[in-house]
Amino acid sequence: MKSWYTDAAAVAVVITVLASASPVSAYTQHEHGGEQGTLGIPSTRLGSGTAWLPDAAPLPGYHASLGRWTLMVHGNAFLQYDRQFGTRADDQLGSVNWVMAVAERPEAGGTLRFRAMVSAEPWTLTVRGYPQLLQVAEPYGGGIVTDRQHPHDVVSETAVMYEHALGTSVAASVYAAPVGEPALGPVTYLHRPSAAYDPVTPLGHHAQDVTHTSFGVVTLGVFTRSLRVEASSFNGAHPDEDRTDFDPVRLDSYATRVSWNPGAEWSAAVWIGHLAASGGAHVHDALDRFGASVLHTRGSWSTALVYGADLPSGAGHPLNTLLLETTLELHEANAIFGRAEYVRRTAADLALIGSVSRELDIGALSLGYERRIWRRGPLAAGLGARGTLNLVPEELRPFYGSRTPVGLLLYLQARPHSRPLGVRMDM
Amino acid sequence: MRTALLLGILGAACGGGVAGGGAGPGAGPGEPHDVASVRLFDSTGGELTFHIPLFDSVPLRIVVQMYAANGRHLTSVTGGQDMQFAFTPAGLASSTPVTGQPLARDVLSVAPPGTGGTLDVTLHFPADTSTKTFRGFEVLVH
Repeated sequence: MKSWYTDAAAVAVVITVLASASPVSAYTQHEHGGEQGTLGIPSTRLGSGTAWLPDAAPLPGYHASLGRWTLMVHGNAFLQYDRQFGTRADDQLGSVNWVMAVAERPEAGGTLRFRAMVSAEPWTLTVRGYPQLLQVAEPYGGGIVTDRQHPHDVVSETAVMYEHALGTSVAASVYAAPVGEPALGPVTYLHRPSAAYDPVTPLGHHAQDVTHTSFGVVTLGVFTRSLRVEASSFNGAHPDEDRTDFDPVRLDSYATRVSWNPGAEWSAAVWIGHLAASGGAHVHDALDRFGASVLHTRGSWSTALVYGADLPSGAGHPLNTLLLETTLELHEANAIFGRAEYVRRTAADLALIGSVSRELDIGALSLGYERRIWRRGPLAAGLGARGTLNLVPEELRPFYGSRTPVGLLLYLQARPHSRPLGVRMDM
Repeated sequence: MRTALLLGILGAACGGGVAGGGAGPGAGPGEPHDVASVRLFDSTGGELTFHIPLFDSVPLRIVVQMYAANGRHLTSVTGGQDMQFAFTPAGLASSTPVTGQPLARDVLSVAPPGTGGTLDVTLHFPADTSTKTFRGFEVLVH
């Protein structure tokens, strides 16, 4: 049961972090690589953790200089009404939200960067998360929660990163995080421009970018302007069901990733990792995870193609997932977005062991539209709608009411507004 | 200031709505044909559906709960039910009924530690003489 003080705490978290940017005398739109970092690489290429975005990718946010420090804040907040239809119908009024703050400065001939990301979702979505048909079931309170997506942890990243050039064309980096993202997976969906207007988690999240909140990460990297090779040791356990605490930090899993930005509009990556058997919200035996991604941005059109797969130890074949998502912004005031997904679910993923085949092929097609209704200073708000048509096999019909169960979201989104490159405004 | 105000309104509206959302399908009695899935628990309510750990010479009470297709917990079905456990391989473990608890069995490992297998749960419903088998619950002897 919620109470007024938890609501107040949720609001306070968001406002406090955003307010931290207000003392600066000016803000600018942080897009298209305004800040040049090590080797001349735009700081905005770091999409999440150490994963690369295309340099052309828009990353609306506010930055300011404070002495030697460059500060940046960006985030996203949705107030959504979520309605899932069919036998497992459910609905919720809730908020998906997050705020990220970055502070960096020159240090010892390199670049020192601190980053933190927070969310109020444990309060605004409840600890059970929001309804989403066919999402992976999770233990909660001694039982299992099905057809819901969990909230993010209150603190999902606190990281320090240091980069130093080793010559004119090669540099090295170290990333250490009590909670952060290892070199495993694509830029997480929260930070992909192709999903900037979409509040919903991909169905393939748990085989693609679920490790973006790992309690314990160390990543070493070597990179040129276009190629990055890195390796991580990290905690393979998904965060536990208490989303407001810090889980024990450990390094029991490992991963490596190669990223390639052949031009300003493209970024590609391949990765492979081994996750130790774990508890947490997603109990799993030891497994290998691998995948690849291609991200593309041209002007105001961003697209992502992501393949991710889990290969549990002892299994004969991987559990594949595939995602294609795209967002097109039209004249800054309109956005159209869509997502197509294929995932191979297990009966355990759906908490239907013994009732259906051990593995099932699932599909989902989503389409959304957002219309900006308000813009003032650094913030814009839009009204949007998103519909999903899920595609399930015949044996799931009894559990979902049809072979095409649907979901609908209506939402209000608040986020930094998009503006042309390099615009600077005095407050 | 306007940013903070807008976010405050957004957060307050959201918090008020969450409390009423997603109540879940609840629990209650049903008919035999309503039973679409089962989940397994130990005597303390811990979920065993995903993994049944058996420890050498230590009996484990497994309690079966029945669910309708929409996820509603079926606390009972008309006419009751009989239940059988079957392990694969057959020498993995043995089970015995629990007096007064028709949906519970005490399970004892037979195979040595490290042996894995599966459990099939069969429910027979006298009311309509139907039978349903739920196969493939993973078992490991530790």
